[in-house]
Parts: sequence; C-alpha cells; structure tokens
Amino acid sequence: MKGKKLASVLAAGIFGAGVLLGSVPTYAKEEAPIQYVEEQNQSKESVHKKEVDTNIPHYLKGLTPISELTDVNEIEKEIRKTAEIFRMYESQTYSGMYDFVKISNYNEEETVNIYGKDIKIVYHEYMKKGDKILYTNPLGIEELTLEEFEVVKNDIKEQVKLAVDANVEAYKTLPGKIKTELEKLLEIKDLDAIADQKIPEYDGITYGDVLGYFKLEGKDFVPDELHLALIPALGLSIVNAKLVMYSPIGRSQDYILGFPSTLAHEFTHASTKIQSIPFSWQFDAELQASYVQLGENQSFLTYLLHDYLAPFRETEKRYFSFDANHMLKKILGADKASNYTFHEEEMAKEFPLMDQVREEFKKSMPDFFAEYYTNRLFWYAVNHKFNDPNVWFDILMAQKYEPTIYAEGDKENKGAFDDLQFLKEVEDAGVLEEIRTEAWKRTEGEETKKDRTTMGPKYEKLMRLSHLYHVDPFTIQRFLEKEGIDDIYNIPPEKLNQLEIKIDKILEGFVK
Amino acid sequence: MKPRLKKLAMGATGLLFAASLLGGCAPPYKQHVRNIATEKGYTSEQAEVIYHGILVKEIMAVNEDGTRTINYDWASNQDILLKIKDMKDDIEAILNDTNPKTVKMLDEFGDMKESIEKNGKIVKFMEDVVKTHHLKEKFDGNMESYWYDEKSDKFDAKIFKPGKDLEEKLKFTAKYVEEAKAMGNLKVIENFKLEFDYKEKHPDPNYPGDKNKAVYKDKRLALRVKVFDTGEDNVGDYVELYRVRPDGTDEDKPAVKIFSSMDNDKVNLMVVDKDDELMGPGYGLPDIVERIWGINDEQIAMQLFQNKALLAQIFEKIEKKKMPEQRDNEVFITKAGKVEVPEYEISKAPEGWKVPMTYKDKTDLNYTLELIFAENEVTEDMKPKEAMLKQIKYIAKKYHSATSAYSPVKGKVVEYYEPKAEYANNNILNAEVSGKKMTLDLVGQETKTAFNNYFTEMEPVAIDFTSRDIRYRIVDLDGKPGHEARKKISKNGGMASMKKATVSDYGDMLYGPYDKDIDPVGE
Repeated sequence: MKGKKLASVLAAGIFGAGVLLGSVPTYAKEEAPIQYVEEQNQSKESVHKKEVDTNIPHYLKGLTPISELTDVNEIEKEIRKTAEIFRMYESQTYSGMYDFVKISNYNEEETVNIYGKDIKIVYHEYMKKGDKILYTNPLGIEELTLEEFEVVKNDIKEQVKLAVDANVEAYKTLPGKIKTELEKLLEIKDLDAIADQKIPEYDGITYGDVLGYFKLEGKDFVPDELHLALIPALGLSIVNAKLVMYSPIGRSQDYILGFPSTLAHEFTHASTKIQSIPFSWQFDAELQASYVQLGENQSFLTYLLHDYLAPFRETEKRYFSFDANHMLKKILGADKASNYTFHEEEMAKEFPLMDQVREEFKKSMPDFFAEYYTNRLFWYAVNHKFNDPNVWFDILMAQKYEPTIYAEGDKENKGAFDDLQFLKEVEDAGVLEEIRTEAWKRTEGEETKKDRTTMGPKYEKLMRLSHLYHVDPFTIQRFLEKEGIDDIYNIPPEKLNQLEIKIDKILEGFVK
Repeated sequence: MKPRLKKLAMGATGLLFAASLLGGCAPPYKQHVRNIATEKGYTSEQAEVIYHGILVKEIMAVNEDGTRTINYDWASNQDILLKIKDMKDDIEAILNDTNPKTVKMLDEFGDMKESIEKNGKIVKFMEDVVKTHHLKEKFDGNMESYWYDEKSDKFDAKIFKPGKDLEEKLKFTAKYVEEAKAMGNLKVIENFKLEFDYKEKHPDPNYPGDKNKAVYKDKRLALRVKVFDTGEDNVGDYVELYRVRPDGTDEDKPAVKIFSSMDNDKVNLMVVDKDDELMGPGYGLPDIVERIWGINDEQIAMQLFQNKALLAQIFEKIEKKKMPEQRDNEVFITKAGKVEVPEYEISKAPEGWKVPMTYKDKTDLNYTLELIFAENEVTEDMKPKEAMLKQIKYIAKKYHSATSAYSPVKGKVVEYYEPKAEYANNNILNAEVSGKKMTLDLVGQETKTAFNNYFTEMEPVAIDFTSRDIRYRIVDLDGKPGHEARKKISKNGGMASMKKATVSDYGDMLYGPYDKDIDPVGE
C-alpha cells in the first residue's frame, strides 16, 4: 500500500502522461495483446515474466512506462535497466573521447514526409536478409520478422511526430512575441511587411534574417535525417546539419517517461531557426534545449541533478526559495554503501513544491526567449562581458522577481522582505557598489587574463569542437579527468603541454 | 555524499551529469561576486542576494511602480563589435577548419555549409551596420572636439531599422568640404599617381595554422592622390586617395580621406576603407577613423610612402585558405634499383634554359664576389705546406638590387664561373676578393690582382635563380654556348650540391641574411 501511495504521487504529480502532448504512444494501450511465458531453468519462486508483444518494438520489450507502475522500486528498476545497458556501452565509448568507431553500411532506411517535410530515417544495424531483419548490437545478433521491424519503424515515426509537436507547443508564442517586441523597438508598424525584404549587396539575406525574426511551424522542427543508432549518448544533434542521432537507449528512457524527452531536446538543437551557428554559441544552448523537456513528463531526478538544468536550480533557490539539493537530502535516506531508500512522507511534501517552481519557469521562459531573440546582439555582448553564457537568464530573472532566499538567522522566511531589507542595508553601506566594482576588476583583470592564457586558445578550440559535434560537457569532463585534470583553472604547466598535444591530435581527426 | 548521489542519479535517471564547463575557462562575474562577498564575511545566501542587487544596479532602471527595465545602452558599440568579431572568427574557424572530420561534415551534411555561410553574411551585415554607426559617431565626435570620448558611443538596436543604405545614410564628410563643394570652391590643387613596389603579404603555405607566418610577394601598386583646397590660399585642406586598378584607371570611391579637423591645426582625421571594389559589401564603408598628427599637403606623398601600416590596410587582402584536394589512390610497386632519376632536365630549345628575369643593371656591376674552394684532400704523406694549399672551384657573382648592395636582386640570381685553366690548380697560397677585384697568391709566382674576369672563363658554368617560389640551377654541361641542363635546388641550402663538392660553408651563408630580413613593404 505504501508503494502504491508513493507511486500515485509520482504518476499524478510528476510523470502524468499526455499533458504536454495530448496523447500517449499507441503501443502502450491496454488492449495490446500481451502473453507471458515462463523462462527456462528458473525456480517457481523466481519466475520472471517475459513479454512477447508483437506491437512493441524489440528494444522496449521488458520495459514499462512509469504511468503504469505502482511501486517506486519498480520505477527505479525500470530506469536502471536502461542505465545498465548504457553503462556497458559507455565503457566502450566514454573511456576515451570517441575512441570507438562503428561502421554501419547497408542499414535499412526510409524517407517519410512529416508535417510537409521529408525526413530520412536510417535504422542502423538493421539489415534485411531474406524475409528476416538481422539486428546487431553489443549483445549479439537478433532476428526480427518483417512485421517486427515494421513496429520499430512505426514507433520511431510516432516519436518524431510527438517530439515535433512538443517543440511546436513550447515555441508557439515565440515568433509573435518577437514580432511585437521588434515592432516596438524599431518603431515599425508591421514587421511582416519588411521581413522578407532582401538587403541589397548582401547576397540574398533579408531583414528578417538580420533581426532574428522567423515564423515557426511543425516542419521547422523536422530534421533532414534521423539515425536510430547506438551512440555514446542518449541523443545527439549536429547543429546546422539538421541531423539527429537517437539511441535505442534514449528511446527506452523516453518510453519509460511516456514522452520523447531526449528526441524533443535534440529537435530543438536541430531547428536552425531556433539554434544556428554561430548564434547558438553565444549562450547556453543546452539550457534552451532542456526547456522542451521541462514539465511533468520529466524524471524528477533529472530535474534535480542534470547539469543542463543547473541554471534553473540556481535561480529557483535565489528567487523561489526552493533548494533542489535540500529536497534531495530530505527525500533520500542514509547512504548504505550506494543503497538508498526514499522517505515517502518527505517526497509527498517536496514534490508539489518542485512542481510549483517548474511551472513558474514554464510560464516565464517564453517571454525570456522572446526578449533574448529580440535583442540578441545586446545579450551576446552581455553574456560575453559577464563571462557567463547564462547571465542573460539571471538578469531576466532579476528583472521579473525579487529574491526570497535569505532568512535571517533561524527566523521564519517571510518571502522577499528579509532579502530586500538586507539589500537596502548593503546598498546604503556602499558594500554593494564595492563588491560590484571589485568583481568587475577581477573579471576583466590580470587574474582572468592569466587564466585565459594558460589554457585559453586550446580550451576554446576544444569547446568549439564540443559545440560543433555536440559533445556534452560530461564527455569533456571525463576526457579531462582521464588526462588527470580536476581543476580547469589550475593546470600544471607540464600537464598543459601534454594536453595541448592530445587536443591537437583529436582536432586532427579520428585519433584515439 | 555528493559524488555518491551523482552516481545514483546516473543509474536511476538520465545518465549524463557533469559540472558545466561551457562557461569558458575563466570564472564568470557571478563567481567573483560570490568570492568577494564570502571574503567580506557574508553567507552564501547573502551573497546570492548581493548578486541580485548588483544585476539590478548594473543593468536595469527601476520604474516608479517598482518594476524594472533593462538599460540597453549598457553595452557600447565596441562591446557589440567585439562579440561580432568572435562570431566571425568562429565561422571562419569552422569553414576553414583543416580537421578532416569537420571538412567531411560540411561536405556531406545537407546544407550545413550553406547555412553557416549564410550566417556569415548576416554577421557581416551586422558588423557593417554597427561599425559604420560606431565610426560615424567617432568621426563626428572628433570633427567636433579634440576631447571627444569614444566611451560615450552606446549601442542602439534601432540602427537595424530598414531604410536607406548605409553609405547614403551615414556620410563621412566634413561641413567645410560640403560647403566648399556647394559654393564651387572645392578645387583640386594636386593630382598625381603614386607608384610603388609593395610586398604583398600571404599566408605561408608551410604553416597553414599559423596566422603570423607569412610570405611576401612583390607587386607593383599605385594610388591616385588628390589634394583639394577649400579656400583661396592654394593650401591643401582635404585629401582623397584612390586605389588604381591594374588597367591604370582609378576606383570610383576613395580608399582614404583625410580631413583637416577640429580646433587643432596639427591634427587631421583620416578615414580608411580597407575593402576594394572587388570585395563586395563593405566597399565604400569606412573601416578605420583615426587621428593623424602633423601631415601637411607637401608631405602627403612621403607620409603615405612611409606609412607601411596604412598601405597594408589599403592593399592587404585576406586570402581564403583552400583545402588541397586529396589525390585519388593509385598503386605503384617498384623494385629497388629499377628507376634512375636523371640529375638534370635537358632543355629541348637549342639555346637552352634562360634566367627569366633581368638581373644585371646597365653597368653589370650590381654583384658581389665570393670564392668557392675545392675540397682539399689531406693525406698522411702530405707536407704541412701542401695541406694548406687551396684550389678555386668556382667564382660566384651574387647579384643585388641596383640601388642597394644589401638587398637581393629579383630572383636572387647567382652566377658561377670556373677559373681559367691556369688558375684552377691546387697551388693557391692565398686568395681574396675586394670589390670586383681578386687577388691570387700562387706558389712560385708573383701575386696577381685584377678584375675578376681576368681569372675566369667568359660564360658562367651555372646560374642559380628563384622563379615562382622555386629555386633553379641551370648548368652548361657540354661546354657549348648556353645552359642546356636544369634542376631544382633547395631554397635555403641553395648551394647544397655545390657544397658537397667543396669544403666551403658558402651555400649556407649565401641567402641566410637575405631571407631573414625581408622588408615587408617596399624596398
């Protein structure tokens, strides 16, 4: 009963399906014919039921969406199944920086039209042989019937539509808001009347291009190519190439969540209207791509821990007085050698609070994005001067909200009152100005210059590489850790030299 | 506790958790605020409130109703231009990346390359708009007052409002010039073409990744100089310079304008357009506005001629790096010793190979002499005096420019003469050169001093020269008139093969000083 109570909190409060999307995947419907067979060589007590469901793609067999689970232990175990597969694969891939090369020719592929745009979907490792499809993965070769492969194709196409829908929903108000803001800013009546006007001498670019104004529809989020392939990440997008890689493991996690979270994230990256080099390099593109994932179909632990969402956690603490780290401490029991239990009562208290701040972000972000796109050159310069790709977000939060983080001593937190009173004190005492000036000195000063010269150009090259190939920060960090570097600000000279040689080699091409 | 938590999270949820490294290598402003607040004894919560307070104070105006408005003029045009430069560099870095992975991506992934190139054009337009407004502000400010402060140049997004083109909208001209023009008083008092040799800077193909490595190619260039008087005193008040096209005509928009400026007679204001007419958008829009001191119209030609930085700005072009096409694979299997490589390429023309440039001046005295001695084989039974004897192998004439003995002649030509038979023996006690003369002290003979041709054959047996960046040696093998044989030789160790036959270090010395000290502009 306890488990059920907790699961109902999870399902209703966190993972409720369909809120953002309007529908759930068809294969998860209850009427799907499911048979159970007993595995061989198992005692009766440990009988494990295995699904044989012809309507479920082979990579999802044995997994259950969270919305259908009744026990928190089950949820954790479901996700762990995918994590174990990933970890096994990861040991081959993340041990170096992309030192695992897989050649996959003769894949099955198809071109389909989704929302008026053709997309080539390539199913890596699926090869037709007679009336069978052979699927190769690190565990061996699996034989699928043509019907079973058809289920795979339908599943992926369904996910493409859902991920596009999610982005359309997330950005539906953006063009209109940008238009209003730009018209106000430039004092023009109708931006649409001049947006397509070509600028003489500049080879076909329009005022719309320069002002960063666009219209959005479903096809703008459909990439040119989607590859279902085992890759060293859940998903991956090469910006401007309109090419997305989607791992079956990413798909598995999305299935459990009941929402193509990974795929929607990659589709944000792949839309050149939303993110395009070099403009998307002027801020934290991962924060933006995480916006579409924000919500009830999100793993709560992802929300509490994923690095892409760190700016949300930082600002929700400053402005909403909600501390994600504190929540984690409250809901998790003591560490019993990496074995944890959840404190159910605490979870029941914390979840609604987490939902409240997540909803507040969902409400504010469209306005923030509109502001950022409207005045993009200004914000690029601001991010650059503050040396912080997320300061635009901090500033817009500071514009809209009062801080509520501070409660004096053990007094009750009275919202913003104490914060503003403290702020007045430091302002009146001249401390605020003192810190402001000193922080600028340090940001622009010798110390910073020194940091930049130690690793600067190579680091920038590495970052550029990571942006370009969409290598996540984790991979970079693993790479640096492998090189024995824990602190990027403080690299010993001898290490720096070795690292430079190594980076050069990586930049040269396929080097382990 | 924390690492464990992260581990659990990896297992339980989404796999990828890490400290963000995307912020760049130096700590962000926010971190400095936190550090300073901590140093001052504030708690981490108070530091967050302080950070909020600073953001409001720094970049916002507080309205009467307590709401806050962003101050967009917080950023200057220079801040924006700095960021635009970063974006240009990023685009350049991707499109010219030599990393084969990037090259393949750009070639194979849909319209990736085209879309990044398009963004390059957008960024170029942004740059032109912001830069031209920034320079216009600077120009007007400087024309108005000597004390103009560039920091007051705030960014205003309205500059992107569609309308007139930039050249028409922002005219870089002074009131006194326009008034003189309107009154019919703008008179050309000097109009001349300034021709000069210019060493054009190109990226060094041997160091494709190093922007600071360059090679220089000779080019004959010209500028049209027009000096205008706006009054009656016949003294220049305004100057225009135009690039002269290869066909001798002038470009139609000035590359440089120099105004008499402001309240200080000694200071002029110079406006430079770095783009020529072939470079597309940007031609006609200035790239530099700067004060110059103490130029008057009499000095203008000399000042220009000496101002290498200015000439470089007017004429230097950015050469786009091209990725060399990789050759298709072929298979060749050759057994050892089956292929003979001929030492020389024999000319099919009856007159043989010629030096393709004029290198002798009218007097044919623009050379310095060098002696190359034969290797002296010292054997055990030799007497000490015998071992010290020398034998001349070649007398080399190293040609220099007609105007300076310290600059090489075009093609860096060296002629090698064999000594006449009577001076070609191993019987020289001492040999010296002085100017064009040689002095030989032969065993058992009187010391002889004479012009070099007294000691040498009439025609050089070999000539070294550089053409199109390749160093050649042409050789007379058959003793008949002309040099029928040719081979390529090393550019720096040009005398390597000669050196092999001699004990002299001559080859290394020959070009060392020249190659190291090439003057990038002019001679």
